[in-house]
Amino acid sequence: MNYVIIGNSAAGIGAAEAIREVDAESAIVIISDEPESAYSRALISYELAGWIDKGELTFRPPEFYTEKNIEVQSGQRVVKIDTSVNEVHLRGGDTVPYDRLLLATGGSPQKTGVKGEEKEGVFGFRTYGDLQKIYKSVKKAKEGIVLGGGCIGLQAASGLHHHKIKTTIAITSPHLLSQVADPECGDFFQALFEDNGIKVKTGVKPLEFKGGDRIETVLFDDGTELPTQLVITGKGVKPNTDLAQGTKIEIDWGIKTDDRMATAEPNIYAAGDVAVTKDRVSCESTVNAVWPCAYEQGRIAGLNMAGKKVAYDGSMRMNAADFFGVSFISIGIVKPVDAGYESHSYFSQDQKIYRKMVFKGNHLVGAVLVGIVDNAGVLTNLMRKRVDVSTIKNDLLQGRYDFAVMSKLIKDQMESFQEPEYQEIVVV
Amino acid sequence: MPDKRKVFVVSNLCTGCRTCEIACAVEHSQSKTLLGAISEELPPRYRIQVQAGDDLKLPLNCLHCEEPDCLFACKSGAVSKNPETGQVSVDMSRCVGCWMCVMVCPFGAAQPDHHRGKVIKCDLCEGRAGGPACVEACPTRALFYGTNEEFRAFIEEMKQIGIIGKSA
Amino acid sequence: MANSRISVDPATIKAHDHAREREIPTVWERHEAMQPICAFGDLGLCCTICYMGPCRIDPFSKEDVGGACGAKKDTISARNFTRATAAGAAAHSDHGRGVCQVLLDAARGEAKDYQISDIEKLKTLAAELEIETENVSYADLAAQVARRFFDNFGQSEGYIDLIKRAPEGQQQRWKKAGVYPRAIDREVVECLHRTHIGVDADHRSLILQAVRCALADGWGGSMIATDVQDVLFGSPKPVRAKVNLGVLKQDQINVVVHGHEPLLSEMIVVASRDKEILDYAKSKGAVGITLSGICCTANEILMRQGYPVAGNFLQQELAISTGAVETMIVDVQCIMPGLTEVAGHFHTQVITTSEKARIPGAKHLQFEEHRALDFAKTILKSAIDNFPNRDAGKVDIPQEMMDLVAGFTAENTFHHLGGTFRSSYRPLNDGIMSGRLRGVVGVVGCNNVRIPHDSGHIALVEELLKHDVLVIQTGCSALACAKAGWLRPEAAKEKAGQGLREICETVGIPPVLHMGSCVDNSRILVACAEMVKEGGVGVDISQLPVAAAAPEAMSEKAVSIGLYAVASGITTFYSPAPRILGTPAVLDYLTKGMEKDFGACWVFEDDPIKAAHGIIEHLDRKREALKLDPMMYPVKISRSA
Ligand SMILES: Cc1cc2nc3c(=O)[nH]c(=O)nc-3n(C[C@H](O)[C@H](O)[C@H](O)COP(=O)(O)OP(=O)(O)OC[C@H]3O[C@@H](n4cnc5c(N)ncnc54)[C@H](O)[C@@H]3O)c2cc1C
Ligand code: SF4
Ligand code: SF4
Ligand code: SF4
Repeated sequence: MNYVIIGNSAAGIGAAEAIREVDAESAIVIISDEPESAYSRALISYELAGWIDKGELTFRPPEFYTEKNIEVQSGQRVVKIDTSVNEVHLRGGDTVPYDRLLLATGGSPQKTGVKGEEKEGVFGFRTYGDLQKIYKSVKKAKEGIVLGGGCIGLQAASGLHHHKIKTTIAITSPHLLSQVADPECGDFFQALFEDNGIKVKTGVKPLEFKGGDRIETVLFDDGTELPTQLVITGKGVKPNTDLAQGTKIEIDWGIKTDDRMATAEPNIYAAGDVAVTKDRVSCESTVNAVWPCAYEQGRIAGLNMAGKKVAYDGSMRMNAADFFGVSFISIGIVKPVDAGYESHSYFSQDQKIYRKMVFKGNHLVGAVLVGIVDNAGVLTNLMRKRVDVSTIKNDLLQGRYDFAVMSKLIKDQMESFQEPEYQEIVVV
Repeated sequence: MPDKRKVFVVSNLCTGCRTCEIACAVEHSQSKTLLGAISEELPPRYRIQVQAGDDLKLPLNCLHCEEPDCLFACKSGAVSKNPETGQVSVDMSRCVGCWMCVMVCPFGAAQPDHHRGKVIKCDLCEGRAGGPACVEACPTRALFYGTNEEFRAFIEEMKQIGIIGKSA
Repeated sequence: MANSRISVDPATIKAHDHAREREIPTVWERHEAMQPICAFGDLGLCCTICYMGPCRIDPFSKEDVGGACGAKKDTISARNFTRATAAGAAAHSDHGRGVCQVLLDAARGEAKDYQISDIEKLKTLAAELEIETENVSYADLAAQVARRFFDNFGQSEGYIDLIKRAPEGQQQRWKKAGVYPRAIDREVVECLHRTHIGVDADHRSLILQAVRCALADGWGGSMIATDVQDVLFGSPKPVRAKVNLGVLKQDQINVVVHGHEPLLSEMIVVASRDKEILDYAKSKGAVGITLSGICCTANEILMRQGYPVAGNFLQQELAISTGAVETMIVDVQCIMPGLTEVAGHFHTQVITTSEKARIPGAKHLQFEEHRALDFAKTILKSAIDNFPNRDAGKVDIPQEMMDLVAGFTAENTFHHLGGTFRSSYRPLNDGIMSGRLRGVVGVVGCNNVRIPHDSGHIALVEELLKHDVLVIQTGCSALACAKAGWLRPEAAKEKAGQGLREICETVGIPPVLHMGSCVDNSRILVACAEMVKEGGVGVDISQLPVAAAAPEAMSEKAVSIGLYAVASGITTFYSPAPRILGTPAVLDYLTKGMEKDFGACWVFEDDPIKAAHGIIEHLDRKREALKLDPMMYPVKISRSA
């Protein structure tokens, strides 16, 4: 058996590790167009912000590949999949045969579509390569602009701030973290960032990146023009689906997969930021481009590729971060659009605590926690298992959701708690 | 047969005295003494928490899951599971305090430590001569350290001698 | 448990081994079974005062949110500390009240078996209390003194009388701090009131009330007990006696008195000399009756009657497990309920005699002061009747036994230093001023199973003696050093530094002076006051080169003693610390803040050698402040220990 994995990141590594749990012998080849060995792209913002040492981005030790007997081909771009002969073609012309193939190609930053986007000093923020380019500009820059108010944008802004750059976050939405939190919560973080010396400009769209070869100013639709030597864009990520062309693989924004992470093409699987999966909470098909989902999908794909029959119970929208010592976790549906949901929130400016819970019927479907994030995983689990939480709803609303509270549900909804750990806990 | 030993809980033997918490904190202190521990600059934190339900007292620490969500979620590769012992451990030098594991641990066993900027999780008192401090400290034997089989046998024994109800 | 964790006394180790072989659990085994000790309780962070609780404060938590009522750790541990003080003061003082009652009954002729033995002391006391002594019968005088003391317990105006014995410096500090004790019972009650849920929550204010209560003990309840006992049974005079389990006799009827009040034990002493009783004993095949004591009852009959001591607090069960004790007669305080379990393995009968203390498994015979001697005889007869039940096969008495001299008091102790003709504190003060003596340290208190039995007392006192410190002792601490042989005059040669030795040898006293039982710690207060009065070593107790130590403290009484000592200006080295270590604020007040208010503080040092060195440094600081002569025979502290 020949396993070929395109992508040397969360999903790819998850798959390789899973395959090795089942199949110690067969050849595994991981191909990646990035020159580095596996690193966590989610940590580039940490490095920029000085929270971790430079070069500390690897998420598996150097001996990992040899220990697991995995062949890596770094800096090799796959340009085509030939499903007729089960081979992938590398840019240099070489081919690699496969019996099972995983597409774990992730995503790329979306273009902003703003005039002047190609100028020097305007960066996406996705790869180690991007980070190196930003470092070069950082030295010369006095002012910087981050376009985007999501977690990554905020981390990027913290990063520039760390390098003593006067930083402004400019966003089209009326408040920060608009995808994952309420205005109240966004405003709280805005105040936090401003207190720490980072400006936030809301409700503005960039119209043009101006300057010569290098960026000099950004013109916004409210007429303001901010001088800057460095722009980080964060418009969002688009799945890298190019390789699906010419195959039966179905695309719907990302690559469509079934509950074994298989694509419509036999022997080809997809996982991670490139894959469309069913969301456990909303039950809609979507790309949940976060690390835990990528790894887990890779793992499920790997197990199935190696012959196990393991179903994926679905992905989940979630994210965690820490800004200036204030923790933030957002899970599931936190900004419901229709009336079928019930939201409760609690906010204390003084204590720097915010908590929001979203219910649909008897189910918890979303939560935002700021400040105190202990036991967040219990909430994640309640959503993930879609259990009836009516009997503990009051506890949840009052911020009591440690495992003891949740354990009340186990007896009555035993079928949802089949993992061995639950048997251990409720043994007597 | 791999030696998968961990801390098991017999919740109805727990009196809620929280001695395990203290023992854990002391074990994870610089001084390893109670008085030393409480006066440390940055007091140690315990990895086991006695949680309270309606009529439940539940000392809870890491379950060293078969399929550890924390490991899957850790974006810095700090979490690993030892295939021999089953122990899920965190390499503190790699933990970046992103709270991904906190977000996914179904038991709340991975807790954020804001003062150190790292996660707090049971390490089974690795390297401690007497085994887990919490188990040794529990005055009612509500905590048990061993393999699953040993634990089942222990439960049976406790039932035989009537310390825990047969119906339980 | 390793023997080194049990005791440093060979007799104790042997007796314990003997009990262990027979699988008789004693305090050591029970204490081991108690492990782990609850850290919340140990640190003083557990509150059981109201019924919303129990509440406990997490010593590691980021913030102290307080118990259910909002009491934070400062409040909780200060309340617990105050309650412990109140309980300790109550125990001493209730003892004082009991002997006052007997004094009154004796004066009225209702307790015929008691008489006024020390007329001089009675007269002095009456004069001190400003009671007219001319043309008044002794009985009347005694009745007046007793009534006056009764008033000290419950009066609603004024202050306790004997507090006036304290030097002016102390008086002023107490008034300034608002802790001048009013009535003994009142201070105890007020401690309980203030520590009820929702009353006093300020840790300093709570501790100051505890101070007031402790002062009412030291200069009140305890002092009354001491003085009235002296009046009733005579002031002690130096006597020779024997100590340790070896005093129990194979061929005799062994009766052990254990507890605190001398009321019954003094009568048993009388009864045991009764010919009829002795004949009865012989009729049962015994050579005679050996009466010995444990704990403070032992100290009482030791210092007044020269009766032998079987052991101190941690030896109480072991006395029984020798298998040779017919009867153990107990009254109040420090009597382990575990005694009857141990007694159950032998023929020994444990007899409770106080209406305040009954113990499951013990026989209760209610002591009646009005027919005290008869009662004592009845008890002795029952002990004699029990002799034939003794199982010789189970008898195993360790042979260890030591000579000692006991019976020093505030009045007589230091007078010895001057010889019979110069009866004053002058020679003591001179000895200190000239640098022959470094100072005087009271080493007192209990045994505590957390510390190897006697080890703290022995190590600490040995180190002090080397450095020319005159040691005065009471309670179980005195008995520990007695067993080590340091209460013999010869010990001066063996243990004392050059200066101390010279003084001891000249006067013919041991380097360690036995000053009585726990209530007799009041004698130490009086001695300090006398030193101040004599002049030359400070005008306030806190300036004296003196200190106190309780290296194996165990009881709430010890807390009260420690607190009145500190509040009276005597810096006190205490181990193990009362349950306040989890609360920096309370710890800080006791170990630093009190220095400002009272000129002395607590020092919590568990290592007895380090404590001894701390004491030496403390004495040297005091000497320096007084500009006294340098030590005549300086000894370097060896830090290697
Ligand atoms: C700055 C930043 C911060 C983030 N922070 C978080 C966070 O806090 N929490 C969180 O959950 N997620 C975070 N994420 C998202 C997370 O990193 C992704 O969800 C995760 O990396 C997805 O992993 P993946 O394996 O699916 O794809 P990717 O990590 O995108 O990896 C794709 C791999 O495929 C390779 N590849 C792609 N195309 C080809 C090709 N044609 N030929 C060869 N190789 C190819 C690439 O070289 C790469 O190795 C962050 C992302 C960024 C950029
Ligand atoms: S931290 Fe949580 S998820 Fe991880 S192994 Fe422990 S219990 Fe399982
Ligand atoms: S907090 Fe530490 S252990 Fe947890 S996911 Fe983040 S890096 Fe990994
Ligand atoms: S095993 Fe050790 S680290 Fe784990 S909870 Fe117990 S005491 Fe703490």
